[in-house]
Amino acid sequence: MISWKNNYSPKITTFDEMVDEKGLPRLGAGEVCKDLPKLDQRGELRNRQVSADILMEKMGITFNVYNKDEGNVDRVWPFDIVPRIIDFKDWKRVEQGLIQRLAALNLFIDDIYNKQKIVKDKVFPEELLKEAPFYLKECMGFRPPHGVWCHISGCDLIRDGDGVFRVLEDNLRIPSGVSYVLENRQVMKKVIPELFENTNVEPVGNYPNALFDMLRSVSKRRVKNPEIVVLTPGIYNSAYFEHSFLAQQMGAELVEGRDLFVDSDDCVYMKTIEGPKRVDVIYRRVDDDFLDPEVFRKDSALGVSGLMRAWKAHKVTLVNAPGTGVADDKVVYAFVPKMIQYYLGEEPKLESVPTYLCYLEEDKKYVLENLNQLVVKPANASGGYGILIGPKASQKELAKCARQIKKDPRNFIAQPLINLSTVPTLTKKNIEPRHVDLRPFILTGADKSYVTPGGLTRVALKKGSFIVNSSQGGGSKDTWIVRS
Amino acid sequence: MLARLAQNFYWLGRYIERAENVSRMVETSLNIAYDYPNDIEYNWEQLVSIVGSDDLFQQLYENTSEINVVNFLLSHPQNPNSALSSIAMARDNTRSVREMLPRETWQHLNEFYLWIKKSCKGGIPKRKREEFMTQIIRSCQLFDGMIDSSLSRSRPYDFIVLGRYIERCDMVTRILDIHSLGEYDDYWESVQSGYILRSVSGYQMYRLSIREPVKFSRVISFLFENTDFPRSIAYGLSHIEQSLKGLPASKDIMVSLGETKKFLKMQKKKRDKREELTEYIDQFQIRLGNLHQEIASHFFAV
Repeated sequence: MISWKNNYSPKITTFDEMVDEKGLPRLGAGEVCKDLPKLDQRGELRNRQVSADILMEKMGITFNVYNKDEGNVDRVWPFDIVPRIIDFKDWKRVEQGLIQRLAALNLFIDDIYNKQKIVKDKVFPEELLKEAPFYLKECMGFRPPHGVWCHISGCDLIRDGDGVFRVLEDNLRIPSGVSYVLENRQVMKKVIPELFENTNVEPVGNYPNALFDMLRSVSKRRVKNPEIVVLTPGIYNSAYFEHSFLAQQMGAELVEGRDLFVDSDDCVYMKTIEGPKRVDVIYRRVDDDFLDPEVFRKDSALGVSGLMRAWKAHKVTLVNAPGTGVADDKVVYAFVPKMIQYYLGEEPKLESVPTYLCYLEEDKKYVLENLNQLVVKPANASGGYGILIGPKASQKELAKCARQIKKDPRNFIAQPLINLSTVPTLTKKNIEPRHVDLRPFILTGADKSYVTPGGLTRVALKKGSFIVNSSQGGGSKDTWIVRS
Repeated sequence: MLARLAQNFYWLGRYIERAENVSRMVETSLNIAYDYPNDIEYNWEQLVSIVGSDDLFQQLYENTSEINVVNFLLSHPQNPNSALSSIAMARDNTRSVREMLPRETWQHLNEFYLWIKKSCKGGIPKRKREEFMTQIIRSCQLFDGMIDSSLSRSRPYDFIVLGRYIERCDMVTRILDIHSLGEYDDYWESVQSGYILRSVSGYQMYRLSIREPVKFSRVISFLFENTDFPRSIAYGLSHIEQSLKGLPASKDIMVSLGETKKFLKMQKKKRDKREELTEYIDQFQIRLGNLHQEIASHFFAV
């Protein structure tokens, strides 16, 4: 049984999103705080959680883990039925911040591949550009339709100890997870409809329409119904469920590399039983490296020979554009506030996490002196590899890290450890605070932007843990933007 | 529709039908073999020849004993036409088209595959064979039922059905081919004809529709010509035609189909004589093979 006053007690040092320091509901959470304890009589909440788990499995809301013997092992991602609530007005500010951020990032990418004014004006250091791992020389001098490089992005946001939203990371290449946002909401409506009765929750179901409209808007060929396809690496990819889900929702063809070819007219065609059919826009879920064996990895069977040629001849639009990843790197991240000022002449509407760049002498000195207070990350690695969490590291680990920084300062950045906010979550016995992050998805089209109301909330199910990854005990929650 | 998906659906239809018919073929042969007088050896080798796998068989086995042939046809993972391989490939084909089929189809095929794979480990013991084959036939019928009762009559359906009937015509003629050889007296011919009918679940249907004694030549005619019995060649060809009419088929495909139908009609005298039946079946299979080639090159090799 939940009793907000007695049993649910978040730590004072963290920001709990449901209740404040006095245990009173925050803006937007009032009704849910009343409805949840009512629902919880005789363990009903637990029953609903079980129903949700069963439904998830039935609906096939899974991520694939391929196993040779059993084939597709559909693993269900743990889902917690207590919603994560964000006030509408707070969210609108975040939304504006995200749109602003993506506008600046798109201008940055376009500038980098064209005149490089930001480098000439010494706002962005030239030497960093040379080392950016996802920089593609093939893109130099190119401008995609409407100057949009990054059409679809997913920013990882956290809320700090004061509840302030901060960008932790920009995922600009091929972010995934949006299908869970839609499916989680479906499950919530089915298993715990009572919660929707008294609370005004922003709908999330419009994403496939917004995605379709955006893809349509960036077609180079001005035809009534441009042919839009989703390019997947295939059934063994862990996000295949999402590829197929989005294609299905948009009524677009889900294709693999071998279904497409580039003809002598530089146009892209798909092979259908009616013969070749021209393709205008490709929402590709295949990495740059594998896109075109003529230009990138020769051994790639996932891509399409000549695709870069077709793209550069403006015969097809690739979403996201190849080379977008140049802005998706931890050192570049630190420059986004400056980019916003430089390109837009505005102040950033959304905070980021203070970042120390070890290649700067002054920052390096600070980092080395405060190593046990900081989180140190290698600039060019991803997937959480090589991260040192200062306050939790041993003397030996700290010493090793210090040596690495001194040896190769360019490859390291450091950030203060941020105490992630918490949200009530069902545990085996009770309902307890657990740390969360948030990944909203931002669409940038010809003349419009769209931000998912809320986004994907990932929750660390282990007590005290900050790790929200599905592979390490993380789950997800439905995110509610509530008008009060 | 993407050519790759069309090909997946077509072969899905074929693989399911193949698994079912291989089981039917083995079931009939076992029945006949056990009825043989003990001093006459059943010709197991012909089963291998009839599915065109002599070379592969020789690589895998030393002799054409009953147990070797039956295991080769039902459960050998290296025989691409075994019931086990057919189901494995049917399942693989379904993986990428799951979303376009009724949900229960994938679930059923997956369970079917897991079961057959487990059952085939180490070969099928003699006393389990009957049950094993019956289960395969049932599971294939269940699949067909799911497709027929809950898949919209759209492109996926047309390609599955096209594959199903091409394969059925092919396999039914192969089953007949097994029995076209050898010398038989009237009594044995009648016994054999009964098995042929049972192997295609056609015994009662024959009885209800023909109302004359079971005779080899009548059975052959029934299985080639009867337009009402779903496992006859004529029925299969009419469904192939129906599926093709719903698809953007080429002229070459329709010409090839026309030739197959014409052959069935014009050359029917040949199949009345046992000694000419094998040649007749070979000729029919060549035409069916051409039809498949036309379908493959027009729809799949874009």
